[in-house]
Amino acid sequence: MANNPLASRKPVAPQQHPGMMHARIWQQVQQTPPDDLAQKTAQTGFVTPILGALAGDPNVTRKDVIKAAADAVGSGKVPATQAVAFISQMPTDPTKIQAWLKGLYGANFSALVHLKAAAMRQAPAQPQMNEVQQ
Amino acid sequence: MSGAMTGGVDASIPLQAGKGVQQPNPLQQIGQFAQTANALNDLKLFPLRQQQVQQQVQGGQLGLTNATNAAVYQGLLPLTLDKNKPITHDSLSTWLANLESAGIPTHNIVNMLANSPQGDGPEFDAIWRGRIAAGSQTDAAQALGAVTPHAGSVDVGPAIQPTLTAPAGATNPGAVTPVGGAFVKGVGPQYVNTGGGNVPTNNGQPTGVAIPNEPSPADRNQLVQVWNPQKKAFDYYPRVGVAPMVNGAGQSVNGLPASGRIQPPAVQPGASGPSPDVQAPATPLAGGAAATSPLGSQQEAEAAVQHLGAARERANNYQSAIFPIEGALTSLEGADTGKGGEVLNGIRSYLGDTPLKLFNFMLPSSLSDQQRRQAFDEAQKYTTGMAIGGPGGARSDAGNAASIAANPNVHISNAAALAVTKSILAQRRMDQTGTLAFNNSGLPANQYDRFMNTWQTQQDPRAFAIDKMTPEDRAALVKSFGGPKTAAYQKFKASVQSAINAGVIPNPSGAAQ
Repeated sequence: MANNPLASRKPVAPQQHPGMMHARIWQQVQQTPPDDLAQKTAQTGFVTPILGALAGDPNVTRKDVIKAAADAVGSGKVPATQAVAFISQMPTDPTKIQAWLKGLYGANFSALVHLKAAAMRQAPAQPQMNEVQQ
Repeated sequence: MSGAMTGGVDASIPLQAGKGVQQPNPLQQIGQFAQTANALNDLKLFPLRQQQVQQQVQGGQLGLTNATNAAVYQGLLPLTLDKNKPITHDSLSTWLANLESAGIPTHNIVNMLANSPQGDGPEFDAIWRGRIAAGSQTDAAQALGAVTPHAGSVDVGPAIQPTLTAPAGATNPGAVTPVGGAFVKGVGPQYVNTGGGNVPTNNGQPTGVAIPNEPSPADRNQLVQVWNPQKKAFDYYPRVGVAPMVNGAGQSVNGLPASGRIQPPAVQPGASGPSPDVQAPATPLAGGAAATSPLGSQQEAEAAVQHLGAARERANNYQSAIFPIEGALTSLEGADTGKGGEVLNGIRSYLGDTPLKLFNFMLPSSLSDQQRRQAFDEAQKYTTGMAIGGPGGARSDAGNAASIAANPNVHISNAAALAVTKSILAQRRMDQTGTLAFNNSGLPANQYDRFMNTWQTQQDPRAFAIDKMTPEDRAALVKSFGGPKTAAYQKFKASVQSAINAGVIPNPSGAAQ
């Protein structure tokens, strides 16, 4: 049926709701061990503006991305293994690099918000005024 | 069947009378049945009514999304309080996390950020200040006002000075800037604001360097006029940065050159003052020398950043803006509008439901009458939607009436309504294409206005509605260019290509972009 050229409408894969990305990231953050939250927040917070600067450049090249990854490793904020994994996922087609970076940028910023929100929820509650008075 | 029911009559009804049980009102039941039957017939006759209901639901969803976004932006307002503390990814994500943990969904704002990626810096700061200022407003007119300088006037003694007040989203919100340079007559204030800086005065006497010779009218536009009460004449000062102060030997004492090109004051990191992002773009002067900051250039750069923020907001809402325009266009093509149109459609409505239908042939139409009646109703709905979405349309009754008069509607002739709607569609598409073109240019935000000035000049707006023209209209248009080698034709062709590349009009070849 899928290859029937006479079919009036070819089957189309259902599009993912834009909110699903946030839901998945929220789920991943919930599964993150509490001890790792601070480290992941620091890493994501460091990487996100760099991704934003790269993704905002319409003429971004593979060389730019590799240089940014190398700089991040050099600064000691990102482990070399992660940088290598990041570079290995980069599309070979230069016209697809910006879209790929844009997707990563959105996902990282969303993760940053959820990581910080999770850390806020885990922080010890501040004593309320009435508790202090008691 | 129960024995209590005989011949379709509930025998227990008389027993229940007076026992506090409400009897079913047969007239009411008949009325409800008639309403249901009418609604079903209505749906059969006018299937597009279902679409209208869907649109109302979508409209409700859009309203809910806007309200949620406004709540997030209002929660982000504290970020804009300190203009010396730039908004960064870190600070923005912290405040969004605050809101998220308070149960306010922030994913729409995160999506918006993901659509226009940037690194940390003055541009990111300026754009988000503008977005927060505009987005936190619930009224569309106030939202526009938040990112647009407000015109006004200031009494500076003997004269009234036209001014612009920087909007809430600017790096210097509330700052008042004279329009067109200072023109202060008589004993002025201690400092004369020139827009680009201050000319220091001492008891009304300017202490900067006056241009000795009377400048030409053209050069006057580059200078600031300050009234000299002793000379009973105007002195002219360079219209840039802070005017130089010189000692008796004619040497500068404040680090600024006593003559020639004057550099704007250097901005120290962390110091209060304009961010490098909103510093003016270099502009060549008439004489060939380059000035880095002519009068108002700071405001120009700030305005460009704010305008870009507003344009990107519009671009984010492109589909919801374009939907009623496209709908109005389709409906207007089949509707009898103009004088008598409403009466005609009233008659059609009556004839369609009565035996007088026999006289239907007397009415002019190529579509069936009910289709035209439906098209009229739809056109009325869409054009009203466009009027509500227009400037001031949602603010008050008077604003709405003015917006209806200024937009296409079913009370003007069909040809005029179609032409105006196509024109609005073309303008909105061109606006979207321009914003996308700037995004792809890679230029900094402070260049937006200058880029757009040039870009707009290079476009032919008619190209952005070419898909809505009839083949005859297209042929007439191409003929009017005078041939394919003319500049007008090439301009039109380039605009069509821009529109196709941006995806605002379909590719005639059907190829995906």
